[in-house]
Amino acid sequence: MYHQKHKMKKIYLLLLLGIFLIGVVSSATFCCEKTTSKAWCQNVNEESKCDDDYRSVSTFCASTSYCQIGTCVNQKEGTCSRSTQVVCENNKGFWSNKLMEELPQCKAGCCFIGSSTAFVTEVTCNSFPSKYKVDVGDVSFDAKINDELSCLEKANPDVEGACVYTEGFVKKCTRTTKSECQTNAKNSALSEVEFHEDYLCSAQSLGTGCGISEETKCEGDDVYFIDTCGNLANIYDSSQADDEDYWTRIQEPTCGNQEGNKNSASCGDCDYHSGSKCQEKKTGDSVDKGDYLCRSLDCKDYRGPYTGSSTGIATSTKYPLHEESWCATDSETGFERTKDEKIEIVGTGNNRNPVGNTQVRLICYDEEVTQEICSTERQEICAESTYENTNFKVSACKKNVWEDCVGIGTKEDCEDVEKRDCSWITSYGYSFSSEGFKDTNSKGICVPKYSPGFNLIEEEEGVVDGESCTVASTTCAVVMVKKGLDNHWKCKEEETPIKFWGITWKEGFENNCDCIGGEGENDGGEEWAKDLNNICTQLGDCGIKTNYVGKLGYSFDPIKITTIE
Amino acid sequence: MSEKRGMNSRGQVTIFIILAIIIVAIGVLIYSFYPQIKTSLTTQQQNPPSFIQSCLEEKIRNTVELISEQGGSIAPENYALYNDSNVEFLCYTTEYYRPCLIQQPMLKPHIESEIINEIKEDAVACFNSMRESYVKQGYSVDLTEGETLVELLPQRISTNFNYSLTLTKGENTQKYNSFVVLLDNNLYELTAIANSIIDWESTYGDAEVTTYMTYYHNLKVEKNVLSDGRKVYVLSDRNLGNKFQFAVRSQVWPAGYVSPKA
Repeated sequence: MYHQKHKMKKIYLLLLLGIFLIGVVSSATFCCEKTTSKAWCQNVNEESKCDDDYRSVSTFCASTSYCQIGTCVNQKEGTCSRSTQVVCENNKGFWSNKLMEELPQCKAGCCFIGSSTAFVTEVTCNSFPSKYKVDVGDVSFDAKINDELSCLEKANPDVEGACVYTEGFVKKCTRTTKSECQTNAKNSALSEVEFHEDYLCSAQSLGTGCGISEETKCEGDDVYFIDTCGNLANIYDSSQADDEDYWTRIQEPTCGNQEGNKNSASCGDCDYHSGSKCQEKKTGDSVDKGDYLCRSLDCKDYRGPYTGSSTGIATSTKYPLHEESWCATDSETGFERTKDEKIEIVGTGNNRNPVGNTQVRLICYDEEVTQEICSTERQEICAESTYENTNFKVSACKKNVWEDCVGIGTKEDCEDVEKRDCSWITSYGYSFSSEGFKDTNSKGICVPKYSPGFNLIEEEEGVVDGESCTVASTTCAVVMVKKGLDNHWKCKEEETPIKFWGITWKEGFENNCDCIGGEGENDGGEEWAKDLNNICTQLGDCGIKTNYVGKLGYSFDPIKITTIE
Repeated sequence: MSEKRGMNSRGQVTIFIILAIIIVAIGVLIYSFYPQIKTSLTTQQQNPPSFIQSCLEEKIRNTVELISEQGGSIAPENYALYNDSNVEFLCYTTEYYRPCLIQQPMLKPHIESEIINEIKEDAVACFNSMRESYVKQGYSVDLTEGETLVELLPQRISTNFNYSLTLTKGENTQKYNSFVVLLDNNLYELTAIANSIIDWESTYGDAEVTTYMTYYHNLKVEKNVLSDGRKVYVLSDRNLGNKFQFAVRSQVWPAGYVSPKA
């Protein structure tokens, strides 16, 4: 009986505890169907952030029916995306709680459109005839092909050539594909339709009115000759402008170099990935024939920060290439190259990761440099690497993994680049311990390699920012004495305490003359504070630090001296 | 007397010469300005489809431009302020560390319906104005209002007004069952790219812009990072100059050290 009562008591207690815990959890998180800032399905910590006209429950959104994530299907277009039920259905989509891969209507296959292919869903494939103005009969779908690469490989470009026909007693010619020419043959207005595979309309043997010309035009990325009828001929090569053979059959270009023929006056064989594309000539450009050339897409007019130049600034000879990306910073801190050819943003002492500094990724595309700011407050850093042979740079903004640095106790763990972005530095004997930042005769200390910045303007709820600098605040107790006629306080290790620095004096405190320059000395703790400031500045926007415009900060009271008689 | 007669005949000849010069000058002027004169005379005789195209094209173009600047909405609700524009968040989370939730999974149909709503009144005004114009020209006009459909298509935006119009003048009757206004614009392609970026953002918390530029040679993709981890993507066509921009807040890390309470 006693045991039964005891058991029941336990169950009630557990139930009470459970109810209490549910209360604690639910009071912390609410799922708003729509927030007051009009965002759908958000977890918030106060119910007042939820729009009164919509549902809100004291739980995480993933636990609700309406804000659960599933798949939203656009049945008209045949496209699928991850979405919550309420958002999908409000927009007249079909929602399913299944994953995209599990829904047959989201399964992509190979869509054949004439001679080309696309890896899309069947519904999307069926919408192509009306969108691209092609015959329904020219579009088909194969669901068995279930990877994009295999689908693209199935593309079978139709053979091209000269389609010769008679229209209104006049013999005409168009460069086209075989199938298009066959379609032309069905046109009652045209007669004597013939397809000449691999031939150009300017071929003498075809006897059409289309002849050789010096005109060129852009087709894709390349420069092409056009005949007197406006048909595409072969790729522009000024040395073959009058060569009858070059105007007779479709040929691969043989002119120029393998680097895209940037700004070449004679060759129109451009290559986008090598940094050139067909564009109209501008004043100052030189072209042997026609008005188009393979324009260089390199950013040769750019004169901003560029790690590929020894000066750090792009010049007329060292400028970023098309598709190149590199790192920079908006502060006045320079760059320094490390042995492994990676760029590290460094400074010395106070200059390291200055306050307000943000890392930036610069990208050169189509003669234009654009910038991508890595997350502010150095939550992201820019990483850059260089191709050995070409010196070509590629970069990316990556997460600055600094959060667990201060908890790491060994150099090996600290500098494990696979796991974190931390540095092992001299700690002057100090380390982080359960009792605070103390002199423990430590040989080193682990700190963030790229010190995180704080948002001091808009301090977020729960984000401590500036306060966290106190993690590296410390106290050093020093016993000072005055001797004989000397009126100055000096450190004396074996003396009983007369005056010391620190907030409270306890039995067992050692006298730390090192903090003021050694026994018999008194520099006011300046050197000690300077040493510890180097640790401080690495932890974040702490200590006396330079800001992003190069201005050195200061502290009204970096060292507090408390005297206890 | 004969001297007087001689004087008169000389005067007449001079007047004839002056008249001849004036007539020739008028002829030259008419010949020179004929196309313009012809155009101004024929404006009133513009056919109904051209009337609607010229009346609504500008409005549709401006609407598309505004919608493209504001992330696909005429009046964005949850937005980031960027370059004086309110740019709608198409993927958003208020939380830290988590990828965003897609806020507009049906972007294309949403844009199409936004365009329809915005041009609705102007369309009615244009059709009324066309009716009045033909009534003034002596036509008997029978106009029946119908549905308006907007479709983003490859390289173009098609706006179809399913209005039926019958013009009658004497024994001559003309019938029109729909009016189409076409706009050269590649919003179809830009929204497809936007959907792909949103997909990456909602799955991985970020998207790589160079991937798109490497594949589509006329496309420019910019990722502009604002405060508090908000991003505005600007997609533009280097040749046509069309632009589409939208905002995202995804996978944000808080500044500084987070207290265990958070």
